[in-house]
Amino acid sequence: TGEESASGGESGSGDCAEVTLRLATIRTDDDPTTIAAQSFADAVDEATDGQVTVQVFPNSQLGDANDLFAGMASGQDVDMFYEGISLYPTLEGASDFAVVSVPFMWDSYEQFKAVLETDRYQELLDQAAEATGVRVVATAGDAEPRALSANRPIRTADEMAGLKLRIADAPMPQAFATALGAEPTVVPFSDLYLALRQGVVDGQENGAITMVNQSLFEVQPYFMPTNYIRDVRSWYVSDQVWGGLCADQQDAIVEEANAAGDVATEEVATQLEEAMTALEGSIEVVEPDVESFRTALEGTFEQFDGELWQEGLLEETRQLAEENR
Amino acid sequence: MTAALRVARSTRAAAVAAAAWVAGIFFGIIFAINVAQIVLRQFDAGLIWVSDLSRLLFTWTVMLGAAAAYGKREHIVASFIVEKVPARWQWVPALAVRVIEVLVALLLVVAGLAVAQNRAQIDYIQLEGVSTGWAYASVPVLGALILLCALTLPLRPETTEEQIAQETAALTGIPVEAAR
Amino acid sequence: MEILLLFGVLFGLMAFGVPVFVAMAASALVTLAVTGLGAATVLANTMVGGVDSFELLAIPFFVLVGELMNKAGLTQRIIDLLMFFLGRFRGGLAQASVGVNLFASGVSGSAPADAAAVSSVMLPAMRREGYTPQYAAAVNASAAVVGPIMPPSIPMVFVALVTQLSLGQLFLGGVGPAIILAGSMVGLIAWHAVRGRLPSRKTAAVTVGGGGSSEASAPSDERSLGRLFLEALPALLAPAFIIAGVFGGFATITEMAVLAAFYVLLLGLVYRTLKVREVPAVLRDGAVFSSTIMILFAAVGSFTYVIAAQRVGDQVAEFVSGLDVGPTTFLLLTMVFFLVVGMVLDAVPAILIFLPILLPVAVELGVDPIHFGVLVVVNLMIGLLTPPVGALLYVLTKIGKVPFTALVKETMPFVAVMLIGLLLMVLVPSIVTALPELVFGG
Ligand code: NA
Ligand code: NA
Repeated sequence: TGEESASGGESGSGDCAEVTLRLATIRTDDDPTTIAAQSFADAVDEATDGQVTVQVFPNSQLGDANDLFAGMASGQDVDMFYEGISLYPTLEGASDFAVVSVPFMWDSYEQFKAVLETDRYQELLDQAAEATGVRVVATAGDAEPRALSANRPIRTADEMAGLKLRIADAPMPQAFATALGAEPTVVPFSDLYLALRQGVVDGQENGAITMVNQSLFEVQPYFMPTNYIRDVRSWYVSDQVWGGLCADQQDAIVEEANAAGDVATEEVATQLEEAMTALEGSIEVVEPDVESFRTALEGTFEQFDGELWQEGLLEETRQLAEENR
Repeated sequence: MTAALRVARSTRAAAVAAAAWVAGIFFGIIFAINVAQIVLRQFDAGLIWVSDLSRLLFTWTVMLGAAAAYGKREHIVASFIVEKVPARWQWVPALAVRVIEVLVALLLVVAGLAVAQNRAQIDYIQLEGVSTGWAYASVPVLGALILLCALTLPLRPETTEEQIAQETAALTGIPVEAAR
Repeated sequence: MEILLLFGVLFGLMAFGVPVFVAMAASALVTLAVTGLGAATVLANTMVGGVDSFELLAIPFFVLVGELMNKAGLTQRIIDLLMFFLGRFRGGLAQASVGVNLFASGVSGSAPADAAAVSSVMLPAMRREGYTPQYAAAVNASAAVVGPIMPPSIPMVFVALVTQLSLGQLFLGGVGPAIILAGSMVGLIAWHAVRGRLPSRKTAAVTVGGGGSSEASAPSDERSLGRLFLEALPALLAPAFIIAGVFGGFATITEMAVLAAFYVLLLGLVYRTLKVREVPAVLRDGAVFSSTIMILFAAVGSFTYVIAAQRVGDQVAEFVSGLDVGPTTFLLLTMVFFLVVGMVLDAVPAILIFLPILLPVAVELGVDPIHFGVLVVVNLMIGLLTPPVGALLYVLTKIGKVPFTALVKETMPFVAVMLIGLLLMVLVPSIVTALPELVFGG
């Protein structure tokens, strides 16, 4: 694939040769992303009559997200990665995509997905692919929305003050916590259960499925479904590898990636419902006053305009979100 | 020739000492910032960058420490077969080992540089503007230091036997075999 | 086939006296090249990935704790106190080692960290007492196995992460097995003592009570219990301080190691057994020393990559589900399998690769998932003692300054009795499941 790699890009310039693609996820076997990845692998095999073989490597077997991005960018060691669009700005050339994780931007997965499919965002995706060497070929698949759990009920934004909040290692959750007077803390995921149990931190901001799967409900008595950050799973492909595929293969991959995204979406819906039932049966689920959060956060994220993402993109994205509501 | 070798050997000694000290200093910084983190968190003033900086410095501590340990012949070896080789033939396995070490070190330099460059576009989240490539830059440094040592260290097989005999004698006053 | 190549090259190079981390790197490179699985960049990538983890920091800091406790003369005082109770018995110090480890395991979640902390304290004392270095090292390596089985436990956290089992239940499931394993070691040491293999205080020609303590020449069993207790108090308070820190919510599991080192450093400075200008050199030596262990964590990353990329896990699952066996036979087979895996693979990658594949098969056959998860952890922790890849062997061969093969030979009887314990846990599931069921309900 070396020759084609320099151009990369949309149009399939390679011959329709047999190819094996290594597809990684950073989640467990029964996580919706891995289930969807497996379904994608089967479907691509069938659609291309076995010409394109996809091997799925779940559980971070081929490395964490950074490893996978670096590997795809250099066209080595891994070819595809299925994970949220929120991780794209990990790569410097895709920093614009930090804007999609601004809290309370989206009301639903469908709205978010529709915005990603607008001409403006398709243009941004193209630019990012050129800049990073990692291309997003399809944006499909729901993810559990990020929520809040704590050792005390949190109904309004005021009650966030002083909360020692374990955050995902990303800029937006940090800005969210800081703006509301909480204290953002970084704790490795594997330390989280004990840190919560021991009270090193008071709360964390993963969604309901993670709460249940990681047994966090054993150590957190209150769950607040704030749904404050959403994500759309995306099919990342090494741009070098992508350029080496022929047009038919590319079409098949895009089509099956979108279809597999629906598998993930359905699976997330099922698991989310089960998780909420489990949480309601074991701890207190507190309905937060989302409006109070929106009000308290007004103007907070404008400071990142022209810093984390290009100037004006926040307003532009809000507009697109409004249009696609 | 001997003059050049002398220069190379004193360079090695200085490099090994420097690697050990820098590793120690980084270790000390990790120590200090984590103590500060624990203390400050009690006053609700935790430092969010501590874990990222700790990881970056820790990677360098390990690579520099490992390089220093190589220079001091302190690495873990399973020397059970080499020990059975008669003394006058010991240079054979020792040479073979050295060649393998040189090859691996060369690859660490080349591959390490490539990876460090490749990582340049991925920054730490909590260390603004610091590329994760800096952590990976420790790998070619490890390779280079091993190369320097491998090419200048005298050739003899590494065994832990002598070390243990001396240590035990110092502690108990009886040789190893008799203590059994 | 590629796996045979990988391990063939590894063993070959190790036998030739290539440093273990170089041998690992070289064999991974050879396998990558021959199979076309990846470029040499995989090695550079995985080496950093292997140590780029905040949790691993606990290991060098526990190494530092041991070093500082020795320098500050605190370890001698603890041992003197323990010997007041155990010193009259043959093998008393070896029994004390198991006791100290069981005590430490309630605080720590990592076997290599426990081994580093406890053995750097116990080994010099045992050797002064007349134990052979390899026996002393073997006892300490074996005793550290209980560390991650008794809660808290880092590998259990990994199991919970990949299988979505309840971490609370896994933790509690480890209590029974930890007690069984400790008991089996106490029994073996007692047997060794009965057979006269071990020195007792009365017969040992060396005086005890050296180290940093100024009353080096006074035989400790002539001192009163009260005085021994007072002298040991600052050192005894170290674990208490850690426990208070963790359970009081001051520090995470990882930070606890930092906190412990800080406490001992302060103590040494206050008692003036340690001078401020000595501290930089202690840090330097601690950094270099622990790097010889940590570099193995770095190098093993490339191994994990090759095994994952070869999809060894899938092949295993296919094979197992093809066998027509009942739950107990299946458990026994998987235990044998994990023993073999544990020989050549570190525990965490073994969990990451094989557990998600085998757990569903086990559940399908009617095995209790908590029972299975805990058994796998116990098995892989015993695997830390089996050559050629055994983290505890590496730590102890280094700290104990013992030849690898001699250590392996002395450790085998301990491995054997622990395997008997493991067999018991397989056949009597309630050893594992009773406590979690009691607390969380069946
Ligand atoms: Na433990
Ligand atoms: Na092993």
